[in-house]
Amino acid sequence: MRTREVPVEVLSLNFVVTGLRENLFLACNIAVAALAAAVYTEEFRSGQLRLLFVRRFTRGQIFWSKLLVLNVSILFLLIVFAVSSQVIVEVWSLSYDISDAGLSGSQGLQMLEYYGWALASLLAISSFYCFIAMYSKSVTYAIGVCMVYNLGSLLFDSLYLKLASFVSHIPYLHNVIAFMIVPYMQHTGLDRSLMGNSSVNGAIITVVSLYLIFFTWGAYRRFVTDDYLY
Amino acid sequence: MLAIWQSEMERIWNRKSTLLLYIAYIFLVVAIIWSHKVTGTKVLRFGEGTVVVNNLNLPWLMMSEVALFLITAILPILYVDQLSGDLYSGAYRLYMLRPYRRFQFWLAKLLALSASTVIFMGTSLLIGVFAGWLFFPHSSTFLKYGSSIASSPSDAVLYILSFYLILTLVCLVKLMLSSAVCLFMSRPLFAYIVILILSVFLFDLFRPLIMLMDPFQQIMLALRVEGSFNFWMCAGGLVLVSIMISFTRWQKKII
Repeated sequence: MRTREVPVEVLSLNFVVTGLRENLFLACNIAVAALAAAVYTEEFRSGQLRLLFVRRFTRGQIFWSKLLVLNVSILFLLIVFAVSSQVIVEVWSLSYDISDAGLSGSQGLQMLEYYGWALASLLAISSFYCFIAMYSKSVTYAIGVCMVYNLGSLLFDSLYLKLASFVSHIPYLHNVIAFMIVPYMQHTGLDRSLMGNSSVNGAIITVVSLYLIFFTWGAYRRFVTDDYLY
Repeated sequence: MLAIWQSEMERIWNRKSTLLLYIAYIFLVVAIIWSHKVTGTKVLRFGEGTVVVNNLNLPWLMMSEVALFLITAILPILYVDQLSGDLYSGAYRLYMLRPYRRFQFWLAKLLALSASTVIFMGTSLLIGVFAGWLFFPHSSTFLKYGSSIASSPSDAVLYILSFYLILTLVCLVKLMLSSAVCLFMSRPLFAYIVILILSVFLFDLFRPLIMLMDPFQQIMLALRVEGSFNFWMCAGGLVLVSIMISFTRWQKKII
């Protein structure tokens, strides 16, 4: 971790954001993958859904309610993360005698902005993971494939960026193509978006929208059309 | 015993999902070789510098990333799916009606998974050797990891084989750890996550245990002439402890 070498006094200044920045592109994504596999694949493959379909709700309603639960859980976990990070800062301020540990107004706004973008990126990747979860044979495969995607995108982003550099003369298009790899967007794009770069912000919104529309639709089609009789 | 091992092998390899995993692995190996072909050089990830890729060093250099994927994500899919999946789905309840002793089911499953691991390893070795000879510049010497003295092609054969042998052993360490975890956590989702967390955090206790996540550097260090006592101690210790926990738990577990 990059933050292991940083002194506590410096780290405590903006720990709520730094903590998420360090964990967003891997740990948070894995947590989302586990949630998606638990909510979709496990019930889909264990046969519990067949019983659930006996209820008076349509398949579409069940799908959307599951997706809502998943997204609300992500929001809840992000809030828990922010609160527990701030608690850690408070503990540091007591044990290391740091005076200025509270959040100032501008820091609070920056934190909200970063968490907003982080939530958007996690919603995008949750759609993708739901798609993988619906098409996986077992929970292990669902979470494993998500892991491979995450690791692959972190290790091979330089190769992929070479492809994106073909359109480097159009910054917006270049950013859209580069951010199609969501973990790359999370560890590079979100930092750049905080600097107020409009082409980066536009690209993030485009990629998140594309992910939400395309992969949610793919997962939805699978959910409502499969016969579940095996 | 051979029959039950054969049956386990069929249970693993007759599944479409295992074949898909195997094909995905081959694609991964090919993609990494292709990336080396494009760049012509390999930047080692732990700050050891850059190496020119040739036919003698490709088979082990390419495993830097492949081994990371394999140990962290791909093999645990297979292990957890087979170990936890069969317990969780109740398949073992029927399966154990067969006239074998209890420990033989455990042994056969682990041997079948070990053989499958060897298949994965053998495939990457073959692809690496063939790709090296066909697509990379032929060299009469190569540099071993961390060495500045050039070695001959006959050394390369031994070096590559030793590398793959140790990598297979590391995979078996992971298998044994997975087996111990899966017998306590029969729900595959939790088993996979616990194995992942253990792999990521155990190396804080002993540095060589990073082999459970990213084994490349540790294997290269173990291959040096002076060897790496800590590596062998950690690998051997973890295998022994995991086997004991797994076997004891299996013998007492209510299926």
